[in-house]
Amino acid sequence: MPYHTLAVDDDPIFIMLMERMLGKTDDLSDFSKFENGLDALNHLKQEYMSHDKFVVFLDINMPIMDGWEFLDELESFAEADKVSVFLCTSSVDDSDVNRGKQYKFVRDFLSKPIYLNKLREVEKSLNDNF
Amino acid sequence: MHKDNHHYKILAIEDNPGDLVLISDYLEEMVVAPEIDHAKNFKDAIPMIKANGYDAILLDLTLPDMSGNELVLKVIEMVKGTPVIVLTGFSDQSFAARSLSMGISDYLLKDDLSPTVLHKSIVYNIERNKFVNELKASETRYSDLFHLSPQPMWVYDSESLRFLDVNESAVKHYGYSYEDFMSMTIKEIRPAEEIPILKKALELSKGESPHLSDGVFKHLKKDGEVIHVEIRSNKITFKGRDAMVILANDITESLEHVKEIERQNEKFKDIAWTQSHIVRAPLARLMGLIQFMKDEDLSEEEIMDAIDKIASSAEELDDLLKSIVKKSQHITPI
Repeated sequence: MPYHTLAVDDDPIFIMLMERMLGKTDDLSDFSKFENGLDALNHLKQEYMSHDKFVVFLDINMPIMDGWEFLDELESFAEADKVSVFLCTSSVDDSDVNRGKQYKFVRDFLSKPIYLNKLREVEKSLNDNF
Repeated sequence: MHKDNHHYKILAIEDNPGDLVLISDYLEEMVVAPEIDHAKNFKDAIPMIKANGYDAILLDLTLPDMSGNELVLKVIEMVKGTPVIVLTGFSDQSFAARSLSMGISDYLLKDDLSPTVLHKSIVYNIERNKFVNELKASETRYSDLFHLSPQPMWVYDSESLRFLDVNESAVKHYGYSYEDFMSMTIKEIRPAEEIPILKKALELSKGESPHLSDGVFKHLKKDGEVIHVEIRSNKITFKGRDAMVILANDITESLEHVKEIERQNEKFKDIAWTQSHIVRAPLARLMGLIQFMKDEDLSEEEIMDAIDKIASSAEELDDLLKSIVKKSQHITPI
């Protein structure tokens, strides 16, 4: 099942790497990139009805709107079975994990760097669960 | 009748040969082989007293070269704890009684003297003297423990709160002289804000277990410095008064030490956080880029671009590590 994928990160290198790797996946290659939470949120709102499923690779620390604020906004309109969020951080902090668990959208934490085999695992887990 | 078979070494200071014979006879009647040395005047007695080898000294109050008050004082000064028993006639009886207060152990009237009386007096005073000497030694030990303690100690009156005694360490540590202390109450070594705490501690110290009042308190030195002291207390009777003896351990420095360690721990935590969160970002980027170069079939231009990105991430990492080194240098060894 194809998904509409969003990669949200203020680090252009991360975005560039994600772009290359997502292009190699079967179901995550329909892809839009954003450098802050607000742009991603607006896109998601706009496109919400046009796609069945969304996958969001979300950085936590970003300018303008960070990952947490993005998740808070998401609560107001999105459904958990329609949007799956993967929080992407360079180091996984226990307090972040606990905070992430409060959101129904958050499926998992991914520790950077994210390699292609990890994205394939994500893809598989999504297909198993949806 | 059994004779006393203890070995007694007696010095008899007596100028009257008749009395000396009497003393010797009486002693030999009661004791197996008493050793009796004899001095017939004060001058002869001096080296013998100073040799200090006698169990008891029998002293006639009237010697040819010295008598009465002066004789008693001189002898007592020299004896170092050996019991002195004065032998006297009726005419000197009242003086002999008074000489007890000068350190004489006992007095015997020559006219009442009998083997039993003499023997009993010698045995009794030797034993009593042993006990008194032990008591004195024990008092000295306790007094030394107090006065030579490297930690400040004092005794205060439970009612008036006045200092009754302080040791040398307390004088040195708090800056007040002994005389200062003796004119002060324990309230005066507390900062004003500690007075209610002191009152509470005093209440507790009157209870069944005075140790409840032990703890860490703030004290005030003469120069105004406030110190943190760990207090141990005990009830004692001091010169007939209800008193408390206090041992104070200044822990100001060790508290500072603990605070400094806590401050450093905060810095270490900060460094650990920085290292895991901030340093990991450029490192993750580097790892991602290297994997990317391995996996992709890149053009010359793309390779150059990737190398530039690797270089800038490496520089970023370098800057972060330098800042951590700088932070660590601010942590001074304790």
